[in-house]
Amino acid sequence: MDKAEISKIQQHIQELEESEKNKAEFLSMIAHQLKTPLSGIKWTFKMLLDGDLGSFSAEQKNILTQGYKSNERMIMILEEMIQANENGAWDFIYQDELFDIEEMIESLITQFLNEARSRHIHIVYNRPSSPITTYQADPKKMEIVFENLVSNAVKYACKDSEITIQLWQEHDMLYFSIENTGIPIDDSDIENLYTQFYRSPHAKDSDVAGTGLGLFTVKKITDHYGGTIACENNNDATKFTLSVPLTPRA
Amino acid sequence: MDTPQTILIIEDDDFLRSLAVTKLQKEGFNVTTAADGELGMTALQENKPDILLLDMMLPKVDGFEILANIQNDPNYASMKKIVFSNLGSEEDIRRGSELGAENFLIKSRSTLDELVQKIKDTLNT
Repeated sequence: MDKAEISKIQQHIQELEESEKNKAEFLSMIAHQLKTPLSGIKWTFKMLLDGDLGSFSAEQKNILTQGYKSNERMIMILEEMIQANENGAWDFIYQDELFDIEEMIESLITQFLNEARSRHIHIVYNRPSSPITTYQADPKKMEIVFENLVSNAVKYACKDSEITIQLWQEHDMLYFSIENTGIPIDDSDIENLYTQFYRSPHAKDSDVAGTGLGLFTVKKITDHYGGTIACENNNDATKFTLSVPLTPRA
Repeated sequence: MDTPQTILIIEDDDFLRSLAVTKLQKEGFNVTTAADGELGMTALQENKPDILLLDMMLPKVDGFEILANIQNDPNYASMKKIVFSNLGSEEDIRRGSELGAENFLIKSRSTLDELVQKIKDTLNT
């Protein structure tokens, strides 16, 4: 390939990156615009439910509660879309560095404790037997990965259940597993889980809001590092296991 | 009886503004409003409130500019500033705090009860 051809390809890549960036900015703008009316609906339902504007019968309150919840789902979906958009496929830049993976996992678990407690879900965290001090990756990207996995486990877990999280290293690989009991994933669905916008039939039938972007993003980042993500089923228990090299391969 | 605390809400969305006014008046606050950043700056100059409740994405003058304009003005040193916006990235929060905002609340993630609580907490700090 001569210099002229290389330069032409480089220019083409630059144009593609520019176009993806514009699309992302456009999506971000729309998402932010939608948040304003959704906030208004949220506050209205809440004020009516709290009796700020007079009292309602039990039946009326029930309908208002459904409306409030439905709007909350819409806000959550929008926030997931904003996150996926900000960290999406067009984000080519990875900045790898040494960071404290154990601290990241512990802080993520803390973030989800309230939600878990409210549904009587107990989170068990099995720490590594010896400290992991050599893990290198882009902390922002890996936070997206772990946040999605923990958030899914909590969202799809049933009430009064247990979530088990484990972090360990073996040879030159880092492993993370998370297991919950709740909405099942059929074996036939496992291969589709990482497809953009895909949601399993059980997930769609459930009350849990989702965009089908979370695991797609997890897979994309895991693939970047030459790692793997696997899902196993055992009755109602679902276990995701992630493995990534401790040091990014050149 | 204590004099009611005064709040200036700078928010461009009519509906959100009216809901916030209703809630805060019920809670006993004395509320004034402005529908864009320019009107907000005028309102601030005319009557300094105890609390400024500030949206960030505003027509004419945005919330960051308003905070920057009053940051070093001793007249506003005692006024509490709460950012109430749908901008919620770490970068936005950092910028807001650097410009003197005491508290930050994301509209789509908060109810008006939580706003009232945040105002009371901010006044007590």
